[in-house]
Amino acid sequence: MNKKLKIYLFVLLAIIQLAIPAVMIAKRELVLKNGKAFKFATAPVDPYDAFRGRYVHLNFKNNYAPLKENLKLNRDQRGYAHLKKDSNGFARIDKFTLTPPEDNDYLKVKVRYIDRNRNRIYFELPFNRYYLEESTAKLAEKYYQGANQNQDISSYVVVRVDNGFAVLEDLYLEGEPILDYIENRLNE
Amino acid sequence: MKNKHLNWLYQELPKLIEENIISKNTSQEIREYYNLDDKRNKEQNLLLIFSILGAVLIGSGIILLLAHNWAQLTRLIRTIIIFTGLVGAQSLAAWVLLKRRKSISWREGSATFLTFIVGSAIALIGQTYNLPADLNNFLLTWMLLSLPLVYLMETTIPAVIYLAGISWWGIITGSQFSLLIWLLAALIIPYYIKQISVNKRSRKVSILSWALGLTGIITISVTLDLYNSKLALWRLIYLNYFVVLYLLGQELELKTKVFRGAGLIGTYIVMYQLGSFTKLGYFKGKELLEGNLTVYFLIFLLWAVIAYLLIRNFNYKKKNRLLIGVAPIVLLLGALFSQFFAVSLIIYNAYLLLIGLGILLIGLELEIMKLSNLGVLLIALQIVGRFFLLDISFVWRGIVFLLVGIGFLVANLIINRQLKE
Repeated sequence: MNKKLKIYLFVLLAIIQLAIPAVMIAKRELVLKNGKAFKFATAPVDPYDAFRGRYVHLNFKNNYAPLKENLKLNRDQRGYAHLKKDSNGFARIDKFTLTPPEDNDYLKVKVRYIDRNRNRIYFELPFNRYYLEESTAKLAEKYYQGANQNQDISSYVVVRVDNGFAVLEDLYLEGEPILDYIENRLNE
Repeated sequence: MKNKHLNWLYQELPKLIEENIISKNTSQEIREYYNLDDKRNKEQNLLLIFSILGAVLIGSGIILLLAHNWAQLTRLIRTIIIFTGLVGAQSLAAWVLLKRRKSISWREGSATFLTFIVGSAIALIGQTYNLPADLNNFLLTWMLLSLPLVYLMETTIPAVIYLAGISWWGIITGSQFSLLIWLLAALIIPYYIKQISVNKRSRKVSILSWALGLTGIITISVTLDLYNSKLALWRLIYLNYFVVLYLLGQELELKTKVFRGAGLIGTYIVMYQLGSFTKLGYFKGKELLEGNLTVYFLIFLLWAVIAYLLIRNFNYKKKNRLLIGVAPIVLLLGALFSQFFAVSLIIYNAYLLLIGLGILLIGLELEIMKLSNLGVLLIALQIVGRFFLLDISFVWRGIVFLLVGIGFLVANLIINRQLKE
């Protein structure tokens, strides 16, 4: 390979290396700006990711849809979860289809397992981590578990959804964004 | 002669070859006379090690710092960090390509650094936008974005990082993409071949040989799918792989002995295990017929490579190639008799003994003490190991151990004397 060609190819590579992060960022910024907000009720715990640091692992209460008899499904199958809001304003999945709906809000999801006894399909939602600063993550876990022992504490995430693509906006404990919640408790 | 003058001479030699003033051979002779390569290597090695170590440490430091996830950093600042980091590392690499392309240290250091920056940029995006656990996509994106650096900057450390990354990716994704991982691993081969053609004895080739040998072991396990494949097929495929490694090592005659060593040890271990099954059902020959298309494709591909390597430069004098090369046939022969395990036991053990003896004789013929000792060691290992299979008293075991030990020493003495003559 001659020198000039190598330089051109290197510039091309540099552009690709810049473009892919740019697309990843832009796509999510657009959803945060234009997407419709949904609240998903959660139950957090705190593990750790070697590359991205501490995060709160999110488990969801309503991560299932009723199973229709005629639908043949496998584990890991991808499809579309139709979103509805219940009377408390929390998101609920009321249907699962293999093609995207036209009139409904929906999420692209993966089937995690199928509960034949209760006729439910459980999903892996495309957001299950909330990243926090190292020290904050430990506090968040402590508050959550402490509060959880006394009574039910409401925790949920707000997710922006646009055309099936979801971006997690914030994690709330008792109606406050988690960072505010921790700050308020520390000041008490 | 002073170092300065030697350095000058070292730099002049390629030019003199280019201008047809001296031949490649003459240049080599001059280098050897002045020990140019050695002196040069020592200095360069130190520089190289420091530049790679520096890049790896700084790169990891950046990843760890970002992993702290500073709450003060807004999304905008994070975006700025991502692009400043990328552009900075790219500029450094571009400058090296333009101004320091002759220096291995600069190339390896800057390319390694850029590789780490690309990884941390993607990780930071994941952290900022709370992306779900997707280590496999993260690794694949990172590796594919860094792979071109191997070719554009001719760098070995990014190649090793790439091989490690796709191996990790393969282990996570499992058999889901069993064929894709071969393709991904193969993307490094042209670089490897080029390095061999440039200089067989270079450290680059040694490092890459290690990385490729290990990647092969992982790649095969991904294809075989730990949970679904049959143990007999695993044995056959790994045996084929080790034989290929051995033959390749013999064929390429690299400075590093990793292919020959791993090939021989691997072949011996597989065979040793087969030769120690004393009960029916430990080795099910029938399982060899229960693979899927991918598995058989892989087997035939490895056989084709073995056959090619054996037929190419076929020479009765190179007995060692033939000795190891027939291992898959021996395995199949034993599998035919797996219903009468005594027969396969004899076949496998006879073959093991043959390997030991073969190595001993080759060592004597070539007058390489290490090799003949290895042969004696393998024979002793087999005899001692096999005695544990039999249900006999400790007295007899003790006597056998003593005899083998004495035999070992005597053999060593005789070989030593023969070699000295």
